[in-house]
Amino acid sequence: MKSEPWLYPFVNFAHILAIALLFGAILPLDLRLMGLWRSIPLAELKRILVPISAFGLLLAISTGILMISVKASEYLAMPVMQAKLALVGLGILNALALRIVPAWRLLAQVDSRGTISRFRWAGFLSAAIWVAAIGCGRAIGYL
Amino acid sequence: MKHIKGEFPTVDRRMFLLGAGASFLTLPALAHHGWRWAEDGQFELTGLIREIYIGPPHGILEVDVDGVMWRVELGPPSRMRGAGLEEGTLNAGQEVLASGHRSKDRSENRMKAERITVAGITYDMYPNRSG
Repeated sequence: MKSEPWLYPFVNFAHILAIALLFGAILPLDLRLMGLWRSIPLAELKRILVPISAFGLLLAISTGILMISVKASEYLAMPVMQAKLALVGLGILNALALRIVPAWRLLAQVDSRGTISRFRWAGFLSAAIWVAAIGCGRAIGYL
Repeated sequence: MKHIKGEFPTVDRRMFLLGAGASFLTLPALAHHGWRWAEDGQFELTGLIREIYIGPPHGILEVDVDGVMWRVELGPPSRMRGAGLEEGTLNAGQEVLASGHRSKDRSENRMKAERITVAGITYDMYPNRSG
């Protein structure tokens, strides 16, 4: 990372792009889960938005690890970094927890318009967690 | 495009509130990058270099000033290269004169340097910032 002058800025760019993909895909899905756009079948949104946000998440994690690696002990000691990592962990757990809900697994086989309270909570938590994680991430360079 | 009555205004209002809420979260982030975290007045210190980091996102010197450790933040890699600062240019134990701006938070011994002088050579990372 230190030997090539363009490498760190490039990884930084890829990290931002990854966050845009993750959040840009997860937010519409979260809002739909919360009860907006009920007439749009959830199964179809899920088919598009889950893979995109998962790809964004994996790219964000890999580029994030690369950027932390330049000064790992210093970054990992920052409370705002610890908060961010905890939030990312919570966001992932929240998403994984939804995957074991039967109503979510069987979406493609039912009329998936409307929402249920389990979905509302998942969507609300997801949106709140990712917004907070991005806020913490932005603060890292400024504290 | 036709608007479906009753639907879109509600959605727009909720989206707006969400966006406004999200932007508030980023408000406390006003230091470190750039100069806002540092005082306006010029600040200088002289001490012995203990640790050197030349790399992204910006360089750092840990400087021993009469037994008190100071953290001297340097510019980003492009600024350091432009000033002639590269890995191996500086050595631990050398005396450094750092000129720039002290952190507004007086409880921390931290400054952002515009230029540093080591062994008679001045490395000016911000030639356009007078001081």
